[in-house]
Amino acid sequence: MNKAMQSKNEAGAELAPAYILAVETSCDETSVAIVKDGQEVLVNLVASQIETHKAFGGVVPEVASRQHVECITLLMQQAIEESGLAPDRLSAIAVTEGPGLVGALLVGIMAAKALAFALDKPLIGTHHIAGHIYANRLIAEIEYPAIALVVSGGHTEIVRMESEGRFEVVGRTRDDAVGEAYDKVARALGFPYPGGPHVDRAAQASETVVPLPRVWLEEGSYDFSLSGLKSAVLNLVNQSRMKGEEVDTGGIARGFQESVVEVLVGKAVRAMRQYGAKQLLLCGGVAANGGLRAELTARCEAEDIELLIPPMKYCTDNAAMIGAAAYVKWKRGELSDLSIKGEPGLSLEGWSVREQAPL
Amino acid sequence: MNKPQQETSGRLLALDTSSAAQAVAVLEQNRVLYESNNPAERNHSVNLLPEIRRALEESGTDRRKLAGIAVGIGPGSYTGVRIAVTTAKTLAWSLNVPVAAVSSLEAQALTGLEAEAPAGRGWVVPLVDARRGQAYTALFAADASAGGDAAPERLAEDAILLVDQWTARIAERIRELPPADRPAFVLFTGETAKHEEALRGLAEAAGLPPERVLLRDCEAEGRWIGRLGGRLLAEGKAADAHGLLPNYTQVTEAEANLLRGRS
Ligand SMILES: [Zn+2]
Repeated sequence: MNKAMQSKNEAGAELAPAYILAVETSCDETSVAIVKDGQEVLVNLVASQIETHKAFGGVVPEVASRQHVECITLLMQQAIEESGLAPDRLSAIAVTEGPGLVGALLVGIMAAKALAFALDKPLIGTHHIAGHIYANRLIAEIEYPAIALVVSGGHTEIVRMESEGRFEVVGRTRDDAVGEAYDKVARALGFPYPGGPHVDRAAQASETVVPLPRVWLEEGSYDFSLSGLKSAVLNLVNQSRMKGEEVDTGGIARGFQESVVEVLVGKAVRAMRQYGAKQLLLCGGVAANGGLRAELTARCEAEDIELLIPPMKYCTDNAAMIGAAAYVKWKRGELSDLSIKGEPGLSLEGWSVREQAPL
Repeated sequence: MNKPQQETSGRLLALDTSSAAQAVAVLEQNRVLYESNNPAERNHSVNLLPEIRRALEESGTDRRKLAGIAVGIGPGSYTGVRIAVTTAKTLAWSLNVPVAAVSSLEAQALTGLEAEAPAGRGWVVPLVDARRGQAYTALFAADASAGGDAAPERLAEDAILLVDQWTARIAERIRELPPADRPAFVLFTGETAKHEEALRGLAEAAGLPPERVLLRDCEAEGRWIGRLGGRLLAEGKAADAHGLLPNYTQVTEAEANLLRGRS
């Protein structure tokens, strides 16, 4: 083996490569990946149920859970085959422990526990948002302290990371998550589920803009509030309809998007400055939003901030990101036992790695 | 994971989490080497793997030498059934051992029949409450004296039915039989308490003496999952691990609404 290729632990000792098989079933994607050393994706399979849930206008938990059972072992088998690894070469089995839909989480957790038991490999229960954050490590080395801006269907958070695997949530939404607000606005504007990308496209294409308020909250706060903005949109739409006017769909979409993006970018950049962070990590499914990416990229260039944005396949829910996050625990020997269960409200800060004793 | 099948211990691991009880057993032929049937409502996901490990350790069974896995596929609690089924299909695939899909209702019927031990050949009706007057149920003809070799004859498939309509249909079937062919008893097993009035009413509706209608509260126990699974495997009726799914007996409410909306 080429020694230069081996990773080193904190004491400088050489470690054999770690191959983590990771499982993610927290919502409507069934995903299995194998990741080497938390960085190199050997295989990342995602069975999306989006077409099924489109018919229902949203994710139906029972339907999602049923579909996870149907494909979970097939994906595990395919992942192992495509990786070319013998199952014995796997170092650990990682699985999303929470947050997420409890019935959906359970399928992945039971499959991961059974596989870990069958192969006699360690198990690593992993935090879904830590996964979104560590998706960034699949493209570049993360430098600490770092700030993560997490934007997804269920989460809107600013997370400060002083060192690897240690999370402090400095800001969060007090009501709707960004993705959720996008979906509700999309419905009001008449776009089909999932509506976020439609709103984004309409906003970017629109010549007009309907001005909407920016919700900054108290001075210095990193929290977000999106329900007022969402209600303002719904009111505009209803007023236009009652007056028999045509709804300025594009103008409203653009006004909404500009308001959301300005606040997200403004707070993320302020957190970078206040905490002296070296990198800004954008993560979560809403990282696909073109308006957000463009504005954040421009602001970071102007202010000389290093910005990481993973490719789309690692921004939406996937197991490779779970394998990347699990690696920080694996490296420190922080493992789970066979009694873990789905934790819909799992705390990100609580999932942090243990503090290192000072040298 | 397609290693050639090694020599086996001839032992079967049995699992069921379709009801409030968690059933785990290890059997060799019909002989029970380890069995636990623990009330663990809402904790199946926590306890199942540790209990499987204990069952194999205490029975001195190497998981890599299992001859098979038997799993209760319901019907019952959707989430509950998925816990054992997901575990069983993953173990079966990764250990490369055959898996048998057992009706949790059939195992529950045999558990209740064994406990009640009525004389003669009669009918057994397992019940798992499914709210709104409904139950998951089936119908078997069986003889308690056959013990572990009891091979019940299935007279109705596992289904979700309204209990009062179901008992009326059973009464009708009994009345249609010549008196000599009528069951020596009708034993309702499982979650009988909620439906006691409807079940007791069967005697009059079917023209049976009331003492021949029996109720026995119970849950599917591990040894019966194992025995039924062992029989399926011996008959060459192993399930495909990847294709193994719970028997929900009905589509989800969301799908049902969608279908209604389209028709
Ligand atoms: Zn996510």
